[in-house]
Amino acid sequence: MEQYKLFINGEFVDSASGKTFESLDPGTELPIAQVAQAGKADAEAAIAAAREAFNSGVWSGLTPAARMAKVQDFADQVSQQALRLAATECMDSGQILKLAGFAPLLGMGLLRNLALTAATKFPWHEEIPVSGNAFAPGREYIRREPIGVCVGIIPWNFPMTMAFWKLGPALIMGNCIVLKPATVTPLSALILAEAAKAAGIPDGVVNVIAGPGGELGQVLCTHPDVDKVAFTGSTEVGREIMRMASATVKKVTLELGGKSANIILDDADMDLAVEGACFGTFFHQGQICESGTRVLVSSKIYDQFLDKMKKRAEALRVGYQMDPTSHMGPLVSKEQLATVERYVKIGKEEGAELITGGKRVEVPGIKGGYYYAPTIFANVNNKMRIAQEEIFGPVVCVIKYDSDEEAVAIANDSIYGLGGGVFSSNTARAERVAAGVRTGSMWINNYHIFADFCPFGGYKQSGVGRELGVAGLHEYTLIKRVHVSAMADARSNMTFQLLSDYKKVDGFGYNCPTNVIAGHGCLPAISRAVTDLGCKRALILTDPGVRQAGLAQLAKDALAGFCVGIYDKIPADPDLESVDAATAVARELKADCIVSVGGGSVIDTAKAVCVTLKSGGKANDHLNFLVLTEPQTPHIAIPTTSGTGSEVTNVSVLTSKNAGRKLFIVDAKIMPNVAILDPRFTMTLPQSLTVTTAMDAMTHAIEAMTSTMSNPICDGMALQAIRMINKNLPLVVADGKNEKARLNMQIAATMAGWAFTVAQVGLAHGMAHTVGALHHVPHGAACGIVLPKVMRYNVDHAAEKLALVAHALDVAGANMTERDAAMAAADAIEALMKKTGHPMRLRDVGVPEENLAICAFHAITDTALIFNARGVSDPNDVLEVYKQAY
Amino acid sequence: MERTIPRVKLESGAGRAASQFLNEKGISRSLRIDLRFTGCCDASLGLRVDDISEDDLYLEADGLTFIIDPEVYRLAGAVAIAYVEEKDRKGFLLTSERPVSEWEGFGVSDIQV
Repeated sequence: MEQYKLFINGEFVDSASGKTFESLDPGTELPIAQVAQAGKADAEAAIAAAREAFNSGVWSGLTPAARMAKVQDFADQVSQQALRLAATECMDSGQILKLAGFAPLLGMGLLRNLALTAATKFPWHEEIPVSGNAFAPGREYIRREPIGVCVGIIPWNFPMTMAFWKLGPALIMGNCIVLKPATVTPLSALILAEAAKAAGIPDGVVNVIAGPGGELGQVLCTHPDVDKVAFTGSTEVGREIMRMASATVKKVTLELGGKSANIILDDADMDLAVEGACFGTFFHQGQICESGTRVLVSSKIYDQFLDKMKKRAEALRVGYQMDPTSHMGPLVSKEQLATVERYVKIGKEEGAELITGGKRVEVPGIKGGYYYAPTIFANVNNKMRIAQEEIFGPVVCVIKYDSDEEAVAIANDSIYGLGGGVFSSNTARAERVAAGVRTGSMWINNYHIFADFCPFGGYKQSGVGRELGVAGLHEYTLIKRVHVSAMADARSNMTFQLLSDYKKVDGFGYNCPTNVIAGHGCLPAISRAVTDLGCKRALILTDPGVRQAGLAQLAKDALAGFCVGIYDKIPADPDLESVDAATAVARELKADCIVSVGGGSVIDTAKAVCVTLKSGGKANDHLNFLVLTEPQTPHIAIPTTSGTGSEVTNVSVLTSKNAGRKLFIVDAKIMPNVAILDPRFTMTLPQSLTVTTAMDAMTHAIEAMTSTMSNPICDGMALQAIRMINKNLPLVVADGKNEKARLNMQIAATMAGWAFTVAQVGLAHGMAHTVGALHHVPHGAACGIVLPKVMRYNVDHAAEKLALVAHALDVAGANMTERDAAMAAADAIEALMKKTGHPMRLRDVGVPEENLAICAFHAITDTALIFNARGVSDPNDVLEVYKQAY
Repeated sequence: MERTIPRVKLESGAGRAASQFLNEKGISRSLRIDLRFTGCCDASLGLRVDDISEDDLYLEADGLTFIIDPEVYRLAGAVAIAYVEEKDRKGFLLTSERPVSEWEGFGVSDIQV
């Protein structure tokens, strides 16, 4: 009789206790091999060997390509042993020879397929292009690494295949493994150990120990040096393994029981359905977890189907597994046989109708063996025990149903969800039914089909995790995320500031790629801009007022043949719905370029349209910070106001009715590609709008100066913007046709835009956003009204910068302290506003006094407040400023 | 015909736990020692509330009636029933003279109603 030893740390050894056991051929009940019986000491030795091998890096430290080469050697050694493996598997497990003969071939294929995938396609390293955290810039990537020491516990129904499923992925992904085959079928796993040794897989990487699960399971599932347990077997044992593994938080994958439903629809090809139902149940004597042991048959074809299935089942030949004419072999053990018989008895007691089978089979010429006839119960109620509990033998329950919905409900009425089938001549219908069943695999017009790249696993109490496929490879890795901070400087770290009194962010990145073309008569540059962007179909977005002023037509004429239309329905303070409406028009016209002609509302809408047009969906899908990875639909902005700066900024401000406030898209990739500052476009801007939009620009500049994110480049832009607004706004108010002053205002607004898009804004904008959203106060007007109040609020935290503002406004006296100069700057702003006719109070623009408190509560949550010079956390502080502005 | 089970051994509070379970449920039926699957491979012994049938073997112990199918008894032999009550593991542990699977003694189970 053949002798098999344990395989530990590269050697075949006797068990520490010296115990052995016999493995029986279930077809004859005769012993075919003597096997060393592992105990606790052997399990510990195997784990120690695997741990040492893993820690040494002898296997985990290889590249995936180097491991692939070794796994290929392993596959070659399996090939050398193929005949011995097939014959041994057949005799040891009772698999018919035709089936056992495939197993080495399929195993070799699995090793090679998955090793190649791991070496060439698996994402061991993944760069994360956008992190989703705007406050911690840097490089983000993930590494996938082997888990460590894995335990694989496999069942007796497909011993060799299950060994491949556990050994293969574990090894391929760089782990070391201790494999425990089932005690009744240990032999093929031990032959695979021979192949691993012959292939030169380093000592300790593969260990195989055969012994009783009750004794070994405790050690394997609780040992601190084991990192993962992969188990295929009963739900009761799996539950216990999960519990044991939880004490040391081991990773666990479980493939457990099933009571899968094979659904025969009324339009199924009858012969195919009968074959499928029989194969789904009686293949390998029904000893398969995902067997379709509940056959659900439409009432329209029930009788005909049942009759055919009975005849087909009775034609199956039950015989010795090595007889090539056998369709079914023996059950694996006498315990298995007894359990099947017990359930058949239960079925009869429950009132199910035994159609065929239900008895042992005597195989001519063989004394003994655990043979059982294919058994069909009809008229089964899904609540019966034989329909709810897995029998794991050649016993099927045929259940009648009336509608597809009822079939799905019956299929789902189970604690299991492992496999299932649908037989139908209508693929769409079959897929609808399959989609409704809560289970891990569904076969349409087929059953029991496995494939190396197709994941397998259970829903509900059928298991945890997946085997096979890339999903299965992932189960043998852990993810490590690595962040490389962009700034190695404590004072540039925004989150470290939470524990610091130093609130400024010193480091910065300046990225303002918009191509700005400015000057009298610069509009014709647009046609070159369109071609430089590679576009042909430009859609103009504008608002009714700008259209009526003839400005959209100016742009259209300049675009000539590139213009596919004008959409003029952008409202002031645009919301998400207005973006969607404009996007719909752009899609219909197949626009590949957006030209915005208007103020901030139009340009912001256009930015959002560019994102939605590129990425699909609706505006609400894209309200994100710094997530875009590609250029968006090209955008040329032609501002008709001198305030927003939106023609160069990275933000689109939109009102969300649902959220009750303004929300944003923030991303460098929404900065317009081109901004055309042609003063003709602002010449007809009414005085009131000229003034309020100018104060928007002024607020951008001043808040950029005082922001915690301020920096020297932006300060330079901001100060020049402040000078230019201060000087040119009164000139424009005095003479709206002063083209040079108009141009200077446009340039100032653009520079202020550059300043705040990097340095951010603060409390004034948070407050302006809120009254804009709640009371439709035009943004520029709201900014201007609150700006001086906010400057005073911030004075003790931004005196130095506000003093520079005072210089830019020409109000800094020679002997003034910084604080005095800062206060003088606030006064100067108010003076400029009075001089130019800007509204001075919130009450003048329709904000009710009784709503100030609500405004304060909303404003406190505006993200702009994060960057305010003085920290703002109390809504009462904001309310006080609102009251001052009221 | 002799119908009593030669041996059912109740260990470590199993009888008390079973009685308590039946009392709480208001059940006064027998407890069947049954052979069952709990999904995939490997049968196990478990307890189920059931009525005695004509060919069952039975035993009275600790005020409880245990019944077993004679084929199951022939397979498993004498049965020991323990009750496990640990912090995160509570239930009945059934072992037998002839283990019905290699995982005997590993998992605990509840009484099925």
